[in-house]
Amino acid sequence: MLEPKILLVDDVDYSRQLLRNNIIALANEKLLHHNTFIFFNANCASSAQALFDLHQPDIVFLDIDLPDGSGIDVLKKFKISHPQCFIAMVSGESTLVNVKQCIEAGAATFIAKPFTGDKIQAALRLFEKRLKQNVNSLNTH
Amino acid sequence: MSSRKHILIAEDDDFMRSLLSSQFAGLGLTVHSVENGEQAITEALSYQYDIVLTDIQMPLCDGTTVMRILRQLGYDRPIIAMSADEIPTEGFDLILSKPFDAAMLAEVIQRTAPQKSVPLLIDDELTNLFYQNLSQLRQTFEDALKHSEREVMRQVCHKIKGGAASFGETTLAELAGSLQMQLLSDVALDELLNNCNRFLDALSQTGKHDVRT
Repeated sequence: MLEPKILLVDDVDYSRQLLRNNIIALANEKLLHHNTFIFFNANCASSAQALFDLHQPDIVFLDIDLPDGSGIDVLKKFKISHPQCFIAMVSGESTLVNVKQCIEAGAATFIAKPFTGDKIQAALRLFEKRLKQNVNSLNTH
Repeated sequence: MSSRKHILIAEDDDFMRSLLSSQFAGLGLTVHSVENGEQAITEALSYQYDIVLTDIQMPLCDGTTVMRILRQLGYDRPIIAMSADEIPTEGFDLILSKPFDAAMLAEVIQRTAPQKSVPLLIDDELTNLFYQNLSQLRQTFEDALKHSEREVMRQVCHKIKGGAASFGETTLAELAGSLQMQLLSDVALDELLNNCNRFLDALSQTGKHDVRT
């Protein structure tokens, strides 16, 4: 995968921008295997669904609290249509119920707001680790 | 993150928790302690800690489940368990059998390497976007308060709680978090009026000092 496609879903503009800037910075600092990414932005659930169907992203950063619906419902739909997609749920509420609900619905990881460099890096490293595992498993079959 | 190692202790026993806390503080570590598994997960996900030291038998969520959930979410920092019983080792970096002596514990913690931390990149453009958004949210909150639109007010608090701390506005984020909880409770809006006005004042003050042109 040369340039993974990332869909950023958050109704707050600066949150999406913050994620994008920091992902690019991590890549520039050579802290990730990938050097470049392609970004798509959605500020609500319906726009996220449309962009997801159109571009089939490899990674989604998905805020739970969206203006037109729950991010968890969006997560469930995404996992049905594209089970391999790596979805990082983002929320200000990192309660056990919230975390477990996201895992059960198919989320790969959970980022508790506020964002930090370490949290963003951990999510992307997990994505790259899973990708490597998938490639290895394909090679052995 | 400073050069001092940060340790998270999850232990439900009050005596053990304070004993471990003072022991690690004495070793020069920055210590944060929690008393159940749920708090342990929430805290660990802040990625502020070099080491998580967890008891196994705890309320809400046991130490093994804490470790499993964290590992599933990609948490790859050291997690050390403390247990009086034999437990499976997979996923833990180490299991300390209770009772253990202070010298052994100190040795284990001191040989654990500190984690490399990546700073959050925030440039002026992003900061401007944040303060512009804050100013809009202040207006939305003021209008919602006038019309007693409790859910809108809660949503504003939720957004500020999640975003403000990344921009160094930790007091505002805490204020938003606590007001959000109050707005979710059964307390009548009239009784929350003072807190709402205090929040509005804090929002106005933040905007005044920090909007960049």
